[in-house]
Formats: sequence, structure tokens, C-alpha cells
Amino acid sequence: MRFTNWLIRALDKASKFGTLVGAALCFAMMAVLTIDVILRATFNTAIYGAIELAVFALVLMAFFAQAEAFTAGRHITVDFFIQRAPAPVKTVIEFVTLTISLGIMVLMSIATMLSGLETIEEGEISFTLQLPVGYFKLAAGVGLILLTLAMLRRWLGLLVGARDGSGPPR
Amino acid sequence: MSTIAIGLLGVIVMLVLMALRMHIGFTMAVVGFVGIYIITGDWYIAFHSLGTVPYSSVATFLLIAVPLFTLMGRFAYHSGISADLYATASTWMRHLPGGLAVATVGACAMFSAVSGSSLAAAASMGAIAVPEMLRHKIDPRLATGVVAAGGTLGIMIPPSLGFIIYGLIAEESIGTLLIAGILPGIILAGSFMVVAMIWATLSPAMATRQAAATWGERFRSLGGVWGILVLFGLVMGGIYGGFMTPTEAAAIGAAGSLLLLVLRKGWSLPEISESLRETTAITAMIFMILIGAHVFNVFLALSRLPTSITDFVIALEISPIMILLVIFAGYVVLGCFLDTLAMIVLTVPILLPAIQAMGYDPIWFGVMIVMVMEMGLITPPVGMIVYVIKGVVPAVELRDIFVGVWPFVAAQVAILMLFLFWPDITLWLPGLMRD
Repeated sequence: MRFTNWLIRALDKASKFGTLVGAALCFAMMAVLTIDVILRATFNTAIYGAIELAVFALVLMAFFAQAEAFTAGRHITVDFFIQRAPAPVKTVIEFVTLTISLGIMVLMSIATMLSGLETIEEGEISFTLQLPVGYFKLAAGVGLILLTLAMLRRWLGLLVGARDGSGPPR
Repeated sequence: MSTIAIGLLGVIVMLVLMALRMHIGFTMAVVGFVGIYIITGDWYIAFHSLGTVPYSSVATFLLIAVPLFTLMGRFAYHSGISADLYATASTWMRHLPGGLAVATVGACAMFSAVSGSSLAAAASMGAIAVPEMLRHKIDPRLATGVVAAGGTLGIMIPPSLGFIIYGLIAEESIGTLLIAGILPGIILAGSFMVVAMIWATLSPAMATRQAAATWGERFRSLGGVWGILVLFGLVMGGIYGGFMTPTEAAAIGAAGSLLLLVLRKGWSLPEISESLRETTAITAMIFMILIGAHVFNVFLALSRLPTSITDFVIALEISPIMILLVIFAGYVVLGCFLDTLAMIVLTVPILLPAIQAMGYDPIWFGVMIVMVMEMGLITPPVGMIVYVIKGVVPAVELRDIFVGVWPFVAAQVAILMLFLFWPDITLWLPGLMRD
């Protein structure tokens, strides 16, 4: 039990840290591109590889923030059809759909990690800065694994809530 | 079973799963993955697409515009500019019939020029304009209805996330789409103002008329909003003039919006940090939908469903206008249940080939569907903006808000018909750009 609590706390921290990294990268993207445009307009020069840097920042931001977006209930759902259903029915439906979602995310995480490893092996590098693309794919996979763990946490919460009668976790 | 039947079945299963409240991005990924496996019969192809699609869906320079335009809107929201926008619009327009309601539309339009979100526009303007209008004894139905309608301008007037996502899915120029939204957005805002004026003229008791401001007061009021006007001019002018790509314009817009926030509130770290965190969460949400949509689109392409729909539509002996009307009606219904961005990623890959085969311009279609989706945001049973306004002003009954939006929905339908039969209005500005 102590280990489970530790794991949950670690996961929460990792999700929040992911969002923090995403927020910092978002600011960096804005700064790099703004400076690049200003430099081009005024001194006819540009930041070397600004576009690539921004794209890689976007990749890290988009994937690292997934877990927190899921935990905070940001992902879009259609609530209309089951909003009036009784709470136990809603829980069962959520459990079923979450199980399916969890299945696809496990596959997607593994497939993305493997794709990253494959790209590293192939030695693919970016065009301008010649950065190894595979590591960014691997980072995307890590972001997806964090999301999968956040979903797994919710899934276990539903299971435990149903078993001991405490209901779904908030 | 034919591939087309599998494609059709996939769409049905996807709609069922969505109705069961499964997250939209995950739903499309699941159906896409299973569909690819069934059609190809090869587990590795389906698994491989799950491995390559997430990274390739996100690692695109054009997509950087999504977080940066969102950030521009969040900075503007946290800068508290809404109050100044409303004060300025009110100073210029309060003497008109239904003046404060007309001013609300003007303020919403200006706020929309820096925010691509209808919900943000409605929430920020609702909190400021509705209490002010109620204080001046304007009927709650008109006060809330006009904010709801004005809020929908958020997704129409660029920078609009709706246009960016449409551009990505339809593979059309995002810059052209953003420019194409300007004129329809202004016309729509004008029509909402006319509705408010007619309503107030027909029922003078619903909106007491205010004293006109002097010209001096009017010009002084511009001091609070010049930043937004300059920012909009810089961003759209940069895209229109070809000086900046939409992504670069988004970066300049976000930086300018941050500057406005700093000028108004100093280096308010909690608000800057909150804007960045919100942007990160919104981006993550949008990108998960895009990843799911890309997996689903691989399945759709394999099933040949879009091609079959195109062939079917062309074979129909019905006027293209009728087909479009049916499609638009379908969008209005879908808009009652689905988020705008989700509707775009779901429907555009299926419908756009047929639309193009009928000879319609994809830029025009993009403007039209974004406009139709706007209606779904304020029509029952869901009408997400209406619920946002109810949350902002709980004292007003939900029924009154829905009653209040109907005249504005009628105006939207009239303008939609205008653009349907006269597409040149939407294509005029992009046409100048192409020349």
C-alpha cells in the first residue's frame, strides 16, 4: 500500500513536471520565433535552425503535457447522451471505455518507443541542426507512457471504488 | 465485407463510442487502428501506423500556430483588456437603440481579434457586459443573448483555431483561411448589432437608451484599446502582406499580447504562468485529437469511403445547393453535441472530396462550416456558450438565455444564406491576396 501511494505521488509529480516543462517550452517557442522574425526584419539575419528548434519544442510540449491534460479532464468528450444516466451506469460505461482507451494507449506508447529506437539505430538527423530525430520520438513515447500511467491510475481507481463501494475517484 | 462497408461500420462504431463519453482522440485512434488491421489483415501495418503517426502528426512547423495563437488569447484574457474593450465600445455606441447591447457585440468582435476561442470571448465579456447591461435595466434575454452571439465571433474572426485545424486537415493555406474569415466575421458582427438595434427599437422598454458621449470622450476611450488594434493589424497585416507565415505571426501576436499584459499589470508571474499552463493543456488536448484523427484518416483512405461518398453525391440528381443545405443542417445538429474542432477533424476528410467534386472552393467551405458550427455553440440542447454565460451570471434563467439567442441565430442563418448564394463575399479578400 505504501508503495502504491508512493507510485501515485510520483506519477502526479511527473505529470505536473511535464506540464511545467511544456509551459517553459511554449514560452521558448514564442521567444525564439519572435526574435527570429525581428532579426530577419531588421538585420536581415536569422537564428540558425530556429524552425527546427521550435518544432522539437512543440513535440516535447505536446507529449509531456498529455498526462496532466488527462488528469485535469481536459480531453474532449460528448457528455450529452449519458449525463442523465444513474451514477453506477456511468461508472460501468467509463470503466469499459477507459479499458479500450488504455489498450490503444499501451500499444501507441510501445509502438512510438520502438519507432524512436528504430530511428536512433538508423541514425536519422534533422536537416539544419543535425540533431538526432530518434531521441525526440523516444521523448514522445515517454510522454505517451506518462499518459498511459495516468489512465491506468484512473482505471485502478474505478476498479477499487467499485470493489469497496466508495464510488469512482474524483 | 467490402472495404467501404468496413469504413461505414467504423464511422458508426466511432459515433457510438463517442456517445458513450469516450475521449474523442482515443476513439478515433481505436477505430482507426482496428479498421486498418481488418482491411489490411496485417497486424504489423496497424501497429506500425500507431508508432509513426503520433510524432509525424505533431512535428510540423504549421502546427506551432496552435499553441502560439492560444497563448496570444490567454495573455489578452489575463491582461484584463476585456473591461477596456467594453468601455470603449460602449462610449462609441451607447447612444444607439440598444446601445449597450450593440457595444457588447463590438467588444466581443475586438476581443475575438486576439482570441481564437468562442468560449473565452463569451466568458470574459459575459462577466463584464451582462452585469453592466442588467444594471442599466436591459432585459436579461437581450443582455445574455447578445453576449452568447457575440461570443461565437471568437471562432470566426481570426486568429481562429477552427480555421487553423481546418487548414491542416484540408491541406489548405492557413494564412488564406485566416484572411478569408475577416470579412464574414465583420458582416456577422454587423448583423448582430442590427438585430440588437431592431430588438430595442421594437421593444423600447427592454433597453433604455443612453446619452451620447462627446467626441472627446470617444477618442480618449481609444487609449485603452490601441494595443489590441495594433496587434491585430500587425498579425493579420503580416499574413496578408506575406511578410510572415501564420506561425511567425502567431509568435509575434503572443509576444505582443504578453507585452500588453506586462504594460497593464507589470511582470505578473502568476498570470503569465497560468496563461502558459492553460495553453499547454489546451495544446495537449487538441493534439491528441489530431493524432487520433490521423490514425483514423489512414483507415478512411484504405476503406475508400470518402471516394465512394464523392461518387454517390455526384451521381445524385439533386442540386448542389440542396446537398450543401443538408450538410449544413447536419453540422448544426452535430454542433449541439460535439466540440467544433472535433467536428472538423471528424467530418472534413469524409466530406471535403465531395464538396470539391461539386466545384466549391475549399476555402469558402471552411468559412461556411466554421460559421455553421458557431450556431451549434448557442443552440439547444447543448449550446456550450449558453452554459458558460449561465455560469458567469447564475441569476439569469437558462431558458431566458436560450430565448435571447434565437434572434441572433436567425441573423446567422440569413448571413449563411447570403454567403451560400454569393460566395464571392468570403473569397474577395483571399482573392486580393492571391493576386
